[in-house]
Amino acid sequence: MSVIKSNFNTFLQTHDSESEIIRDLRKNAFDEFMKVGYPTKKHENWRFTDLSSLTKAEYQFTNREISKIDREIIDNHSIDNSFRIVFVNGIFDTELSELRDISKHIAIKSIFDSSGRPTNDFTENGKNPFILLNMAFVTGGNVIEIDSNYIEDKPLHILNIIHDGKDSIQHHQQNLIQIGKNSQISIIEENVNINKKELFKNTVYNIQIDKNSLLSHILLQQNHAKSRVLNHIFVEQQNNSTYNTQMINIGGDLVRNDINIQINGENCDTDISGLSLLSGKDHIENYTIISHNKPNSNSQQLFKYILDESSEGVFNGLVTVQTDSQNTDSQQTNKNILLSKKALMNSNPQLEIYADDVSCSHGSATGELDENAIFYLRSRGIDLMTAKSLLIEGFAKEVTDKIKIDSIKEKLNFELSKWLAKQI
Amino acid sequence: MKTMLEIKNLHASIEGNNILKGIDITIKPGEVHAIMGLNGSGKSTLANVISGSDNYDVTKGKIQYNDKNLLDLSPEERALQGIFMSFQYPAVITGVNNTYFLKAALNAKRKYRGKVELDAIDFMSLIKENLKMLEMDESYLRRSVNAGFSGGEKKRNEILQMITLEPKLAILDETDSGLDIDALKIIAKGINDYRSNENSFLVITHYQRLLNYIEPDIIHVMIDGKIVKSGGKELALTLEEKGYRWLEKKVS
Repeated sequence: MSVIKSNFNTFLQTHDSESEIIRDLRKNAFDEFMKVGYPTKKHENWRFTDLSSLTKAEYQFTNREISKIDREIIDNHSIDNSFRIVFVNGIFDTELSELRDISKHIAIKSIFDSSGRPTNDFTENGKNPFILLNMAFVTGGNVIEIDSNYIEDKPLHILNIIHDGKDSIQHHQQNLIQIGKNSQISIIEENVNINKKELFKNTVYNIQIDKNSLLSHILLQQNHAKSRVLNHIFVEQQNNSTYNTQMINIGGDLVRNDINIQINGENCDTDISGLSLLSGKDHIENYTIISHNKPNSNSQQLFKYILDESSEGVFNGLVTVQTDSQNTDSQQTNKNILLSKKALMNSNPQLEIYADDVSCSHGSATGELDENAIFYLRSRGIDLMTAKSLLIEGFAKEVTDKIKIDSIKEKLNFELSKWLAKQI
Repeated sequence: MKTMLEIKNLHASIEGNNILKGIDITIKPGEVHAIMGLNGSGKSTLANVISGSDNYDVTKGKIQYNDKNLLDLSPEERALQGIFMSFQYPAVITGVNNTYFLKAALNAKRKYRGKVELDAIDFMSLIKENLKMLEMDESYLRRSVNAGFSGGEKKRNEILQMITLEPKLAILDETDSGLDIDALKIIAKGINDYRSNENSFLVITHYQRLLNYIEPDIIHVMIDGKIVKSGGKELALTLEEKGYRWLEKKVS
């Protein structure tokens, strides 16, 4: 704990121009954190997580000044026929962004309001100590507001770039996405770490979907072997709204996505899925909570992991159906392929149902590639490597097929085959 | 005439259990051989060993295919050189589209033979013709390999793959099981159309029914991992009438 304490003192000194309001928020959050401390393996939700790489090492803070990004990096990540927003260390880069027609229907603001206070505050909600740390150290982040009555076919591509040359950095960010009433949009967020240095990134997402609106949200994270990435994603849905998300995670020393969806309206549809690709000593966790707080809504979950070498995956999914939430339909599925004898998967699907007229199911399966299927393909003249790739791509397809925009699907399939080419 | 496949004194086991106990079969180009026998006699093991499944250990004997030692080749090399097995239980491969799979298989073979790979348009016109021959619906092309297929659909799919991949030696492992009479006729027609004086078949079945439609040149009866009798097509009728027991007695 001494590392983090000296970290915080340094942070306050280097941020001494901030308003009293935010300084108080930071101090309160930090004091609270010092009371609860880091989670340990004794905590039910952290029993598979080795946090020593976060708690023992010293990480410096990212620059608050905007860093120059090569246009080539942007070009390498560009998606055809999309709008683009670029954030560098959490700060909006207007020059690299391309908003064109959408600019009339979108507002992008800093997460800090005019008084210096961040718009998000989940410290009350969060029993998670990293949310307290996020409030103590937040330096970047944005509010993205999509107008009411606005239907957009082209996707909005958000590039979250971390760029800082220091040997080890930590970055705490808060993002708020607000979708107005009767609107529809697809957002693909891509997290890019330019410097392959030690990284600790801790992000709180707040996603608000108003009545009759649809948000399709794809999160693509490719992390190198020294990345520790924690995402706390809070979603709130109002009547007749739809939230679709695909979380694509490729690699990372420690990646954890905590997804908490509160269905606070009727007739909502929630479809969350994930594809995690792990190799080496990668460790990826998805903890999901879907809470049906009103009747007549559907939710589906499909999380798939492909694990090679001595990697480790964790899936923990909880669906709760509150007393009044009659006529809820909820399915939860977790399926995993182990490509190596040393790979490990922990799966824990859970249901808590307090209403009586509901239809809920959950299931989990982990196994190796089907030997019979491999032989079948080989007996048709397809070589062993291609046979394995076909099976793995086929396994992943159930998730990638949920993406309806071709340019994004192509991008994901490209990343998947790139990963496969390295493994097989 | 040149020999295509020569199996000599073949012994094979699975997890230490001997299944094949000395098989000798010689197949020439254009010949149709049938292997008949009860369940558990080793018929499917023989089919799988010829195709290269590594579930079985060959403990003795050899298989010569044209001028090659077949046992040295991987399953895919065997396929590329013209061996095809219609599986008794075809694998279900979710997420892999039939069109994609069959095009990949066909082009692997064309490439191996030094032929130009087919583009999507040429492949589609070929596959549509073959679908028509087997009275299969074009919706097949959009489905995953064998996923949600009925027993009969799976068997039709095997024969579709056979006529598309054009093997020299096709092993049909219980292709008739689970088929109603109409489906059986369609599949038999597909097989008979493919017969030529170059293409050979090894038809595995335990009923004579299929052999009414696909007339064999030679029938072998397998009991407990051995061929106990070989003869002409009339042997099937004898088996239908007398069963296998009279041959079992002969063995013991």
